[in-house]
Amino acid sequence: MNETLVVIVRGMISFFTLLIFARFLGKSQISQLTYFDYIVGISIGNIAGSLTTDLSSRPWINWVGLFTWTGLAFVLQWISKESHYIAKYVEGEPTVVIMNGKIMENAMRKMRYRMSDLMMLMREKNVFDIREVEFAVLESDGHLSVLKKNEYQTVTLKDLNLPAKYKGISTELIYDGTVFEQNLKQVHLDRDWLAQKLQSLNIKDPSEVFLATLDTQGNLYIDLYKDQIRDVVDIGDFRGPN
Amino acid sequence: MKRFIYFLIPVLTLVLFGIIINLDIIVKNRVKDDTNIRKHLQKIEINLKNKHWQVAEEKLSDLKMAWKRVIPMIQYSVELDEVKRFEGSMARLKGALISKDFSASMQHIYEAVECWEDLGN
Repeated sequence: MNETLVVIVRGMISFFTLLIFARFLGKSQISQLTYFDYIVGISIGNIAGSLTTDLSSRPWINWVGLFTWTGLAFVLQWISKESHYIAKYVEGEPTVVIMNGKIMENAMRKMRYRMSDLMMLMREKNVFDIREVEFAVLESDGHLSVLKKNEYQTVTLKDLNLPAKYKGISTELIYDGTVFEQNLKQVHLDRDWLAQKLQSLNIKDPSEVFLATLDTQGNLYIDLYKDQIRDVVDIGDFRGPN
Repeated sequence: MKRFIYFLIPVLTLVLFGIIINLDIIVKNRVKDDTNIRKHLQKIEINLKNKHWQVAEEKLSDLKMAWKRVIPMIQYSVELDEVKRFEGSMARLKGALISKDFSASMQHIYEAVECWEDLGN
C-alpha cells in the first residue's frame, strides 16, 4: 500500500468534495455566518481532514459523514429560509444592548456579554465614548451595529443642502497590463480612446499600467508599475524582515 | 444545456469519488482467477489438507502475487490496519507452511480468509 499516494488521492477527493459542497451551500460570506454556521464549517473541515489523512478509517465512512453534515446544514438553511419562527429558534435574533443611550443589563447578561466585550466591539466601530451611542444592536452573527446620537452623526451633503452627484462603481479598464475589452465596451469606449488617453499621459503601452479605472464622472485613475516613488514610508516600528 | 452541464459536472465528480472509495467492493466480487484472493486461499487450504506442503507454498506465492495486483486497486477504499492485518496473516501462514505445522497453517488460512472478508466492511 503506497500511503503517500493514498493520502494524495484522498486529499484530492476531500478537496473537490468540499469545493462542491461549499458551492452547494451557497455564498454566505464569513461575516454573515452565525456562530453555528461557523461550527458546522469547522466540523465539515475536520471530517475532510480525517478523510485525507486518517488511513486507519475507511474513506467511505468519512465521506458519508461529509454528506450528512452538508445535508443537515442545507436542510437547516432551507427550513430557516422558509420559516421565520424556526430561523429565530435556530439562528437567534438581534439583541438590543443599548437603547436610548441606556445599557440593557438584562439583555447583556442573557447574551453572556461583558461590558469589556461591548466596549471592544464599539471601538471597532470607531466609538470610544459610550455617550455617543443611541442604539447598539448585537446581531445574530456576533457583530455590533451602532446608531450614534444625532449630535454625533457625520454631516452629509443633504444636511448641508448641497447637491450630490451620482457616484457609481468604477470600471477596470486595464489590470496587470491587460486591457479589458469587455469593460471598455460596457462603458461605450474603445481601444483608440484608451490609447489616446494613455498617450496624453506619456504612457506608450498598456503593459506599463498596473491598474486603470474609469469612474462614472469620466475620471481616469492610472497606476503605473514605475511609480517613481523612491522613499517608501516604512510603517514598521521594529527592525526585521519585511 | 449549459445549466445541465453545470450541474452534471459536480454530480459526475461525486459519483466518480464514490466509485473510487468503494473499489474494494468491485474488486472483491471480481471472478477473474488471477486476482481472486478467496480462490487462492481455498487452493492453499486444499493442498494443506492433502499435506502437499510444497504445492501449498507455491500457491501462497501465487496469493502474494495476486495480492500485489489487487492492493493498488483497493488501497483508496480500505483501512491501513486491515491491509497490515492481511499481510501479517500471509507472513504467519508462510512461516507455518515452512515449518510444516498443520494446525498453525490452518489457523492462519482462516485468519487470512476472515481478514479478506472483513476488508472494507
